[in-house]
Amino acid sequence: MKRTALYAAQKALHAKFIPFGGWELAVSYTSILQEHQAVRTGVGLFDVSHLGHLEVSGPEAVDRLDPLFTQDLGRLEVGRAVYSPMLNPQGFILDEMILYRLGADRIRLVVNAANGDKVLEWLRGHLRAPFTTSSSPSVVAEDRLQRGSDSPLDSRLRGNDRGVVAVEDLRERVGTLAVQGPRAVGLVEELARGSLGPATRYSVRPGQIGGRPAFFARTGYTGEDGFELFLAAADLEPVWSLLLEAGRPLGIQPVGLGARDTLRLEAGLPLGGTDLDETTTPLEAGMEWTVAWQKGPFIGREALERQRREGLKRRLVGFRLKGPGIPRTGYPIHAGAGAGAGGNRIGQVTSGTFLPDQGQAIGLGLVAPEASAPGSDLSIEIHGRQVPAQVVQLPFYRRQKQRWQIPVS
Amino acid sequence: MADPRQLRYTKTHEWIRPDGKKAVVGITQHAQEEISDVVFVELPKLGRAVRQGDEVAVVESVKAAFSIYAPASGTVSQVNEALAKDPGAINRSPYDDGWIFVLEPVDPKEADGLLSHDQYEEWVKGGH
Repeated sequence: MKRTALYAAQKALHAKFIPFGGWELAVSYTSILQEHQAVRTGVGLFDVSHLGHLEVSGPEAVDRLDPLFTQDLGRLEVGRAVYSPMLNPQGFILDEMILYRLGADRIRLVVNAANGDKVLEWLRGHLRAPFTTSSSPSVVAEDRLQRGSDSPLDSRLRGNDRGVVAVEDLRERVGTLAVQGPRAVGLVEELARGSLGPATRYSVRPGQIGGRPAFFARTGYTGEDGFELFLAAADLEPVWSLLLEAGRPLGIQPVGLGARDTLRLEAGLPLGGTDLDETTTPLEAGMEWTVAWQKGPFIGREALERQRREGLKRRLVGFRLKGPGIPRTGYPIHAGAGAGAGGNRIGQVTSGTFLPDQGQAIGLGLVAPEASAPGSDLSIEIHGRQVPAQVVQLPFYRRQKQRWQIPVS
Repeated sequence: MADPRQLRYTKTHEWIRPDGKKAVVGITQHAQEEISDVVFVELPKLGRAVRQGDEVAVVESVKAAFSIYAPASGTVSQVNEALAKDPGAINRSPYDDGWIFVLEPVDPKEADGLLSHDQYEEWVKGGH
């Protein structure tokens, strides 16, 4: 199993480790509950170097990538990021990721740990690009394909005859630290000491931290504001130590995978490979907002249009448990609050946890559309018992946004 | 305060404290560390007759659900209702406030056949 560059530093902090997506990762340092609270009320530091960095570059990078994603990459400005699913022709989610436009002809893809190879292969197949792991994408090939008279999608995928793109696999060389929570932005901006321009949500800027170059992405997976820092693998440890040291007066807490999961679930963010996979479409996942219908053809579009016409067979919903217990992945969901054993099964739990601060168990599940409206009664089968639950509007938690006070004269 | 050296243990990380005809059951320090952050305990029904090795209760942490097996045969005569409001007692005090249920009557021979404190420590050191 792979370890991040911070394994030893985490071991020294008495982290517990678990296997995840081919990695041995810190699941918790003190307690999942305490780490969760630290991110909600102060600042937490995550090593998320298991996320895979891939980069597509070249004058046609944006145009050639665009048909592989549901979002409109043509509208992605330099210095901005966007969350997008990547679909197969059947409309199912191969992976979902944040794309960062680092430059006019440079896009960084940050993909789920377990999906790196799959995404690379997909890009290779569709961009017909050479793959490099060297620091300079020197191996850039001309992609001269015969123009056919086939569909607009084929011609978009192929690009024009000058199509030049390179795909770099940066997984061995780049790691990510996430600094998240209401005190996170202040801490990072102070350490970046003005090397950073104005950063807004979903911006990405180059800068320096502790004298080391980094990309500062105002993104995250916790429901809080904060930054994700893209760093050279060799710089992870010094920057990790710097953040822990400088964040001490703020009570900075290292946070493991356990609280990362409870935080994202409370924020209503689905997890690739758990809530979403190659059997789910973005429409079923309630992510139609990620589908730019106004843009041109993209892989999976026809399948999504068909699904939209014919209606959905299931939907991903959030629910709160109204009785004791904790819903876990795979538990059956039945219709109605008073379902008996072997009742009308209408779906299953995809993720669940207990939120001590809310005193309540919550979860995400795929259910039949007739049971998917907020307020619908469900029963979750937990260890043979039917526990009542109710569909709720996502997210379960929404951060308080800071607002400027306008002085009244 | 219960002395962990006086308890008997299972390979599935329960402890049992025989006291005449009855016996108190809980989970070990090692188990609570592994489970961490207990947020819910599903207690057995009073009066339920169980056989040694039966699944009787479930301890749920943020991470996962852990089954609790009866260390000996008997009938559930008491359950720790306080765990409903304070499941964290299992983490703070696994051998005292974090007890889970009482079996009465219990088969003392079955309890005697379980691991001693030293044997259990060896078992845990073996990576279990």
